[in-house]
Amino acid sequence: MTCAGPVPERGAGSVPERGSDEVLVTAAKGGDAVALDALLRRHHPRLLTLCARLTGNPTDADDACQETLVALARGLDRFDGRSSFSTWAYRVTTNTCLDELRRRRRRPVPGLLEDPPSLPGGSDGPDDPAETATRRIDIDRALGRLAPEFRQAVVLRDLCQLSYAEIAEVVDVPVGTVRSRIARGRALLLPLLSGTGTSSGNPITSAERPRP
Amino acid sequence: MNPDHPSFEDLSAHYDGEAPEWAEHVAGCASCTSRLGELTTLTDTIAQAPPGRVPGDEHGDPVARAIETADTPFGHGAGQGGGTRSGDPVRKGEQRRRWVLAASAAAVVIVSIAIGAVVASKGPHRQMTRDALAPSAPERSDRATGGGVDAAAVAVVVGGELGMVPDRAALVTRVAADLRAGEQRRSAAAPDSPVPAPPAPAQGVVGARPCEGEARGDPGDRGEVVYQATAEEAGMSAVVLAFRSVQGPDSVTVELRARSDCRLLLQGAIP
Repeated sequence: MTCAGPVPERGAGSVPERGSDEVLVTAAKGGDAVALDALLRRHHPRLLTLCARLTGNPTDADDACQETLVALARGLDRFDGRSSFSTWAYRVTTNTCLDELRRRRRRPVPGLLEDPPSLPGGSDGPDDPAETATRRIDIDRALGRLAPEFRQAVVLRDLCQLSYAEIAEVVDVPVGTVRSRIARGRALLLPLLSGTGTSSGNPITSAERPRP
Repeated sequence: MNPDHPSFEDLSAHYDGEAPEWAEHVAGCASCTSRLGELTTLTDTIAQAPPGRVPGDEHGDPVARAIETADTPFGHGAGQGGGTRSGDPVRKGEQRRRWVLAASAAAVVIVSIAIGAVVASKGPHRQMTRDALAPSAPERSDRATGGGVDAAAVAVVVGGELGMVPDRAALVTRVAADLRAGEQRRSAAAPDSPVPAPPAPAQGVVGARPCEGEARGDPGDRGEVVYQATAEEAGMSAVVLAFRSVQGPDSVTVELRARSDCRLLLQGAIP
C-alpha cells in the first residue's frame, strides 16, 4: 500500500462531486458527525502509512496517527479550503510525526540501526512473508538514518507520490528546497540500501554529492 | 546533447519528471542511465514496501476514538470537562486505554446516527449525509466476519480491506463468500421478512462509490452495486466492486480497479 490516494483535482468553478472531500468537509463543519467519520476514515489508511514511514516504528506511527486524527477533527473549523483536504492532512501528519521524532530523540531506541540494512533480493519473491518483513525493516532502518527533513521529502515523493509543488505546499518550503532534500535523501539511501552504509546510529544530516 | 553529466540532484529531479532539460543527455549516456536504474530500484522499494500494521486492529477503532477525544461538536467524551484540549500532547498509555474504552460507545453513537439518517432521510440535509457517507463505506467493515452490511445502502455488502489479491480466482472466491455472509446476516437480522429488493441504481447512487462511475463507463452490463471493498494489487491501493446483472441471467461481475485512476486490473464473474 502506498499513501497515495485519489486526491480530487477540480477546476475552478466546477461542482463538487457527491462524496468528495469537499462535500464531506462542508457537511462535517455543519455538525454532521457521519460526514466527519467518513472523511477521517477515508484518509486514515494512507495517513497511517505515512506515519509508519516517517516514524519508522509501528507504535510511534499509531500514536502519531491518532494525534493526527484528533488534530484534524479539532482543526476542521479552521481549515479554509485554500488547499485540498489531502494536502492539509499531509501537513498535519508530517508535523505531528516530526514532533514525535523530536520527542523520541530524547529517549533511547533499543536495537535501532544495529545492523547495516541491505537491498532486498535473492529470496523467494515479493510474496514471501519473511522477505517482506525484512524489506520493511531494512527500509525503516535506512529511512531512520536520514535527518527528518530529508526523510519527510523522500517519503512524500516516493511513497505518497506527491509532486514537488505539492510537497512544497505540505512542508511549507520552496520547491527548490524540496528538490534538494529529495536528492540528498536518495543519495544517502542508495548506499544504505545496498549494504555499503555505515552502521552508526547517528542521523545523517548532510551528504557528499555523488557523481553519476 | 549537454556533454556534462547532470548533478545527482538534477538526475533525481529528471527521474521525477521535474527536470526535462536532461532527457536528451540521459537517454544517450550509459552512466546516467545506470544511475537512473538505481534510482528506480530505490524508489520502487520505498513505494512498494507494505505497511507493518493493519489500521485499527489492536486498539479498537482509531477514527471513533479520535472523534471522541477531539472534543468537537461531534465528540462528547474525553475532551469535555477538563479533558485534553487542542495543542495538548496526547498522553500515551492512559489515553490509549481511555480511547479503547470509549471506542465502543462512540461506535454505537456513530452507527445509530448513520442508520437514523438513512431511515428518516427525507430532508435535504439527511440526503446529503447519506450521499456523503457512501464513498467511505469500504473502510466501514466488519473485520470479525470478513464482511459487513453497508448501513447506508442495505443491499450492499462491505468487504472492508481485503489486503493483497493474489489472482482473479481468489478475488471471486472472497467476494462470493462475503456476499453469502452478508445475505445470511440480513436474513438473521429479519428472519420473518422477505429479503429486501436491492435498490435500483438510482441517479443519487450511481457514481457515488470510488470508481463506480468509471466502471459504468466501460462496456458491459453493470446493474446495481452489491459489494464494495478495498484491496491491494502490486503495491497499489485498489477498489473492489461487484455488480449484479439486471438484464441477463442472474450473475455478479467482480472488478478490481486501481484506486488512483480506476483502471481495470482484474475482472471475474460469480455465476
